[in-house]
Amino acid sequence: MSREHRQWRGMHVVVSTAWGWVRWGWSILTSMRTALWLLAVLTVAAIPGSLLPQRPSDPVGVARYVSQHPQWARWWERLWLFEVYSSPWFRAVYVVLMISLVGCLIPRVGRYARRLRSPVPLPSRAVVSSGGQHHLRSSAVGQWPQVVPTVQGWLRKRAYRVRVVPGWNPTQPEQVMIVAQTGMLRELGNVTFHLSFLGFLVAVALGTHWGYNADVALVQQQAFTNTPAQYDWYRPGAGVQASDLPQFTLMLQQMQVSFQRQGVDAGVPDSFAAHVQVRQQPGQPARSEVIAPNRPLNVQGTKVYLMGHGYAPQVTVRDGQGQVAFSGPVIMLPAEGDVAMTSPGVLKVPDSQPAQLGFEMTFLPTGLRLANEKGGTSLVSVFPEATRPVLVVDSVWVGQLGLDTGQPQSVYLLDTTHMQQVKVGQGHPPGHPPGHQPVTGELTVGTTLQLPDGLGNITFDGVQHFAGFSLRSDPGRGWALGSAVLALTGLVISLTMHPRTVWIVATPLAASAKATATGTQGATGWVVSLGGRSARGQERLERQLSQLTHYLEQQLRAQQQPTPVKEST
Amino acid sequence: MSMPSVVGQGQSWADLSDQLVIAAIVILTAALLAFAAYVAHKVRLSAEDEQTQPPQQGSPSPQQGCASQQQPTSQQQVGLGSAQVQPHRLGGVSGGQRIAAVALALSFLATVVLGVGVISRTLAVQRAPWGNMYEFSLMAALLALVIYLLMVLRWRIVGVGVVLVPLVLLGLGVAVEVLYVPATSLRPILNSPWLVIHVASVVVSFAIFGVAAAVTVLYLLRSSVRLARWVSWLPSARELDQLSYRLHAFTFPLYTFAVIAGAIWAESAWGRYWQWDPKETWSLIVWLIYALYLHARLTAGWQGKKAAVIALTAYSCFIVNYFVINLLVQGLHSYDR
Repeated sequence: MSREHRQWRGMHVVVSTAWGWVRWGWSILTSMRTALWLLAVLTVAAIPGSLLPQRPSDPVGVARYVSQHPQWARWWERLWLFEVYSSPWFRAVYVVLMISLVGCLIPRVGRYARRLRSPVPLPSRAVVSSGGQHHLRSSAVGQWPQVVPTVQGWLRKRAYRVRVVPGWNPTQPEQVMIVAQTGMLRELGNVTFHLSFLGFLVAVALGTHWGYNADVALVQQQAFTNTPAQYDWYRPGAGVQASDLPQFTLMLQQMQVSFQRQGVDAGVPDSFAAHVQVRQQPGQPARSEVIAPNRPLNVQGTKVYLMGHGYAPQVTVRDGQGQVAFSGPVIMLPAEGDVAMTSPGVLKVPDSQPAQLGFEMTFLPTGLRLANEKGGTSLVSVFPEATRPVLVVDSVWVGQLGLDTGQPQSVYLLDTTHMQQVKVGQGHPPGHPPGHQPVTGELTVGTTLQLPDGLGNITFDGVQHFAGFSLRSDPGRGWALGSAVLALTGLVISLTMHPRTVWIVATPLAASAKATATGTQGATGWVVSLGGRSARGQERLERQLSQLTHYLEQQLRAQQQPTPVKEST
Repeated sequence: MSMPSVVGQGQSWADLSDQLVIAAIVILTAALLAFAAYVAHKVRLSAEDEQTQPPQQGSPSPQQGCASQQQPTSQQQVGLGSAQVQPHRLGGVSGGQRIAAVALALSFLATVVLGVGVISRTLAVQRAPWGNMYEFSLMAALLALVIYLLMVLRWRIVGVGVVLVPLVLLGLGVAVEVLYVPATSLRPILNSPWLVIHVASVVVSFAIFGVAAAVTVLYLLRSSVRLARWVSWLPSARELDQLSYRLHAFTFPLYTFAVIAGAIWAESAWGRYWQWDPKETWSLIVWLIYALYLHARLTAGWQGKKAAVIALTAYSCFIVNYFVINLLVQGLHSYDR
């Protein structure tokens, strides 16, 4: 091939023009080979995202990795390896794959439609004369035309499109051919699969664009309205405005958890259920619902999932002037991996006087003092149910909490850069050494920890449960599922249908040269030969041809009877 | 994190199950020895045959036809047909037939024993027997053996056992030594009908793809020119290729369904049907490679050995997905730790 000529769909294309180059490039892009390479590249491209923590799903893991391997992390960051699936290069791969797919599909659909509308194609004479392993010789002075309709019926029953062509062979005009085709559905299945797959990708993209995700932790008896301000974490799709969000309210009435009490695996939860009250629109009556794992609540298109639970001890903090600076539940997230649900947490009290206070605490649902391996005792939680709740104050801090700076802070982390830890003995009369003993305390329900230096006190009032909910809205969800099911159907069809063509050529053994194509004047018998063609599934084709041969034999034998007997196959 | 364990009657079923699994491993090892003897016998037989007569196998053509645009017509002798392996190769000398019968009988026995072991484990845990990696491995091994025996019944291809039985034995060994956990009941988050459907279809796909991988390995061996002396007793390369394709083409929609069912379960449990969880990502990778295999079979120049290598890569990734991702990588799927 010279530089000026390229192959395009079997035609030579002159590429000295720019348009010629475009057409050639397009044919390469939409070829099967390109699709193979793109699939391979996509496969390899997906791998790094499964080995490195990804920012969208695991930001904490990413931060941990960055702190542990700063050098590598810099390089991975440059290559977008912490957000592989939204990175430009990953997107480029699947966009090109989609273009290749669409570019290949559209002409295929056109060709398929044309094939469906056109009659069954005739095999060429060369193919017919070289093929046709199955021969029948019948000496019946039979009426081949009488056999033809029954053969047609037999084929049609087996889902063939049949076409009878007398005079198909110009050199032997008395020959009659019946050609039949089946398995046309395969291409339909193939096209359906690929189009539905594209539809699935579009549904995913649009659903993400117009959907949102949010997390919120609710304490018992706490109400919640579906607005971004009340979320703990919110990620809207690009097309979602706060005003689009359905305005429902949710109140957690009771978080019901039952734990296994006996056996080696005591402490593992048996069941969870969050009893909530839902009000779909402001002004509507509230209704009671239960949210449990695998049973989300669907309200106005948003699904509310129960993702976790824990404890929120009620505390009251009185400041140095005797005012109540804080009173309420403090959500404390259970530590990962701990069956007994030891829950560290943080309380920030910005309103206390003379200075702001911060508390780092740990909640133990069933706190017992047990001997530890160092020879002393330590206070640990031994069971996740709140049977002996103990609130341990690990450290108290006084100073500036940093809530006014405008920088967002995590509710669960205390920033102590502008704070001092409160220690016993500070502020004593001069001459006495300052204390070094950090203020700590172990509070049971109803007890109070007094802070030195007139800073106030903290009281442990009681225990509440909280439930962690996840709100998910994805308008494309139904379409995605529908596309996936349709794709699966198309796939099954394309893998089970086998396109093939069979033909029967009947040649009369003409005694006289006057035998016509349809008549049998002078014919003393017929030579019938069968053949077929199939891209795959040779055995099936063979089997079908054998069956057809037997049937034809029966029919032609029936023609030999003086009175034609209609034999069943 | 420990799981709620079973007590009383359940524990005795669990103990029975453990013992039966060990017994199955022992029987399968004996079957492996029988298969080894079978191979040795066959190789020696074909070496003798070579000396006495010219080899008369079905065309060992590794490539499947030429350009994909041409459709071969039916007048070709359709090889040996998948229904008839030349019988004289199997029972040419009655000794070979006897050894094969012993190997198959032992495999059958091992399958039955393993099956009873799985049933008693099911009775012990009062739920579907694939709630953790140990049970999943048992189920996959059992299904692979059952499929193999059905294949022998239908197509009389004994040779696949030569590759499959060691694979299954390895899987069972790893299951018992490394993956074993005592019988436990289910965590609440896993108590969903989609669990049964999703994991069931994954374990069946894993088993059939495993058998298909064994057939593909045989195909590669059979179409290797260097090893021709050693493998000429196997069914023809074309036959093995056809069988491999049929198994893959049958299982691919099933695996697609498994991934979709997994997405549906994820949606009901975690709120998102796709979130690039490592296990989800690797399931997609496996799916893409099998899709690559199916496309390669339709493309000139990629059929035959190249496609076979792609199929084996896909199964290796499936194994990576099962072992590496479950045990090493943290994700939403890590129920087993």
